[in-house]
Amino acid sequence: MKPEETSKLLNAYVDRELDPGATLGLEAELGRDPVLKRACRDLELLGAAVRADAAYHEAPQSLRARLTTNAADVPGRWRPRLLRWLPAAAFAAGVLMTWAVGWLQPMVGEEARLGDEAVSSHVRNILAHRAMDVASSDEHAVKPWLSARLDYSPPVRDFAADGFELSGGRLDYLNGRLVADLVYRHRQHIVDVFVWPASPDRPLSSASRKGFNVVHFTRGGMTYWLVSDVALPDLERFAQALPRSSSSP
Amino acid sequence: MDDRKRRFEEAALPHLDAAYNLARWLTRNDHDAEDVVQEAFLRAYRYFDGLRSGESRPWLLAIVRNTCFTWLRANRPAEISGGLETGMEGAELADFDANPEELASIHFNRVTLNEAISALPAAFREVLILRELEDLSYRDISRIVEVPIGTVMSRLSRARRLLQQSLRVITRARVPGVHK
Repeated sequence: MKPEETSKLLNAYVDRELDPGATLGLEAELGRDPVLKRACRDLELLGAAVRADAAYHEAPQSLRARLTTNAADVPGRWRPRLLRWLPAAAFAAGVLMTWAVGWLQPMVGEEARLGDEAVSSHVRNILAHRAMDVASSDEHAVKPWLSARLDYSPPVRDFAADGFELSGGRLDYLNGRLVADLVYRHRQHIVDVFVWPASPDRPLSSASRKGFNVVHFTRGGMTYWLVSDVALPDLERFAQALPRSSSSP
Repeated sequence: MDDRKRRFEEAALPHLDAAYNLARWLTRNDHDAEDVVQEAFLRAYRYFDGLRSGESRPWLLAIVRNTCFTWLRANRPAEISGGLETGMEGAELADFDANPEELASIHFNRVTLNEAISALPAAFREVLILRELEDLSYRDISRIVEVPIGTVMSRLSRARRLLQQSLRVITRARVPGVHK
């Protein structure tokens, strides 16, 4: 096959736009061909980097106002709608306040920067209603999927019995690298657990940032970043349970 | 009370950020993006009646996209002249297996990445933005850009290859010694 065609197929595969038959064929090829596999990883890394770091230009308030004001000039029912922005504005003010207050227990330096990055990823995932790359509560489905796309194998375990149900996994881009994002559901809340290899061990530290709770620790050669709006004590309890998963078969 | 206006507002306003993001990436300028989006919303309101429910995002983005290109053709023809095909078909594109180093091994930052995307030809920039930032399916992109799905595939594939290449080049130029 011409490189051009292979490249198209690989892009469609990474975008999950390939039909099941072609997907199987390409996955077999990926298993055989390390060069192709490397190209695939590069594409996934690039996609994750673009999604994480390309500027998302939100419409300026002036434009939003102009569109609603123009509309309000037309006789009818537009003007009262401006009132609808009030709750949003109040919320935004609240968010700004939280920002101004900053970390409750300050993480410093590198840790604070990574905490920021992890929170941003979490917020983006939520705002974009980002789907799972692999949606499954079966750790034996999530783990191989992630391992095939990363240069390490993240520990994956379902904690439904403890109230944290595994809902899937996805790839994210943090700290300048492709990382595993294990997604758990706790009641109506989403918990993103970002995991990648690191040492040495670090004890649990936690913080609140932009209204989200962040818990971080390093153990057993893996560093974990948990981000959620789940209450901090619950999140810390979950964090303490997590490394048990590394000993699972 | 104007039911049509209410329906238009409900269909279009939730996608204002997506509309602006696309216009901003295509015009590469805040002021022009605002003008284009405003014009696009006027057009959208005019042609609103043909819209079926549930399709408002690709529908609005198609109008924004067309308004952008009309605007670029009138104001900055150089940016889209020569066309995508001529511009790219002849361009020097290395095969992916000839890449000198893994992307994972080079370090590029947010600024570099945004510059590199911004420098892509418009036809490649738009499919990349629609795919990665708006998370649209190939089918939706093909309707917005008005090209067959096969063309969406090849433009995306080329967009990413160009982007990888320019990231390698920029990084190598800025950090001597990274490239062995």
